[in-house]
Amino acid sequence: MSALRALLLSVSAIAALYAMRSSTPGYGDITAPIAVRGAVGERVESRDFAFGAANVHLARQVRVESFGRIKEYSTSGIWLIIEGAAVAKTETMTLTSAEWLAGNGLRYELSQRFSTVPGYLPTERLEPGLPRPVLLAFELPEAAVDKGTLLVARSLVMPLAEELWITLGDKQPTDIKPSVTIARGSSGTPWTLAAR
Amino acid sequence: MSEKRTFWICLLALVVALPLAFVVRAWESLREGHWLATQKAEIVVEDGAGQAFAGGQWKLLDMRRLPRTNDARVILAEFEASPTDPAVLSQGACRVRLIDSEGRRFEPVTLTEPIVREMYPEVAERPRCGVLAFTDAKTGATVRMAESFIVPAEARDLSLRIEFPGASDETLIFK
Repeated sequence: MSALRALLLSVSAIAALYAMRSSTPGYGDITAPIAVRGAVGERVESRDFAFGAANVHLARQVRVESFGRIKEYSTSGIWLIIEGAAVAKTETMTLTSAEWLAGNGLRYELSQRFSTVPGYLPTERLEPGLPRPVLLAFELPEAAVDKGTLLVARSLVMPLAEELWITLGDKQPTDIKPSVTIARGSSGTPWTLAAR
Repeated sequence: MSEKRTFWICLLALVVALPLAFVVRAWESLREGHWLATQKAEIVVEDGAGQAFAGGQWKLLDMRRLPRTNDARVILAEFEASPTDPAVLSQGACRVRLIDSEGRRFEPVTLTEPIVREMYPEVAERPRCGVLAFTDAKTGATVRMAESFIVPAEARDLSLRIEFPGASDETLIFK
């Protein structure tokens, strides 16, 4: 009887230890950024900065007009283009990390194919109290747009910093445009965006 | 020793050993956190007075507010340092920031603003605060520097904050 009890006890102890071992969060999870949730069309605040996504466009092709020359960026997937505004609150900074978290858990980094787009998020220096219009572009498979979330943070490698999680909500575009042209804007706006 | 007594001694040892293991493992982090949290000493200087700091005699010459856009202004800060200990000065890395009444921290801009070049061309030519400014200067000569910042139009009570890690643990603040 006592042997059976000892056996049961040790089996349950092993089971408990195994459960604890497999449910222990990894270092990456422990130090992951803290999510601040919001939606497109609203200003989402973190302690150090605020960001608002205003317009969302889907396109098969992006044309960038710069100094009279037009560069065409095609893709086998689609382009997701987000127009928004960002402002620093405590100190001068640049928002260097923007990712698209697809519904299936895959993360897509901000496209690095553009070098000359005015107002592109990682190139915009933000001074506290002075909002700047910013532009973001992701190159995605078509299926990754649905139920996706935009993640914006100051840096990828800052543990326990805040990260904005912005869902498309009802602002998800229904149609995919064949082409979107981004040009340098005149005074006031840094760029103009025309869909075709 | 009875079995019961051993059991209690072991249990008690566990109560002591577990927190001890935690503290030993976290000791370095705790010390580092404490070091980060402690405020660095500040030297506050008002009304354009001179002040010894990081191997030099420092002085704020001028802080001008220039127009930029409707809601933004350019702040042009001009200051000088006469090296008293050039060896110390050339060791450190100068870090300049502007702080407003709400505690917002503005970094200096890297490219000279057009308005500065236009209105104060001689100031625009001045070096920014850094090792280069001091190595290029002749020994004993006063080094005049300029930094510009972009701030919101409503920013008030601006103070210039100069840190010199490597040469001084203190922070110099011009009000």
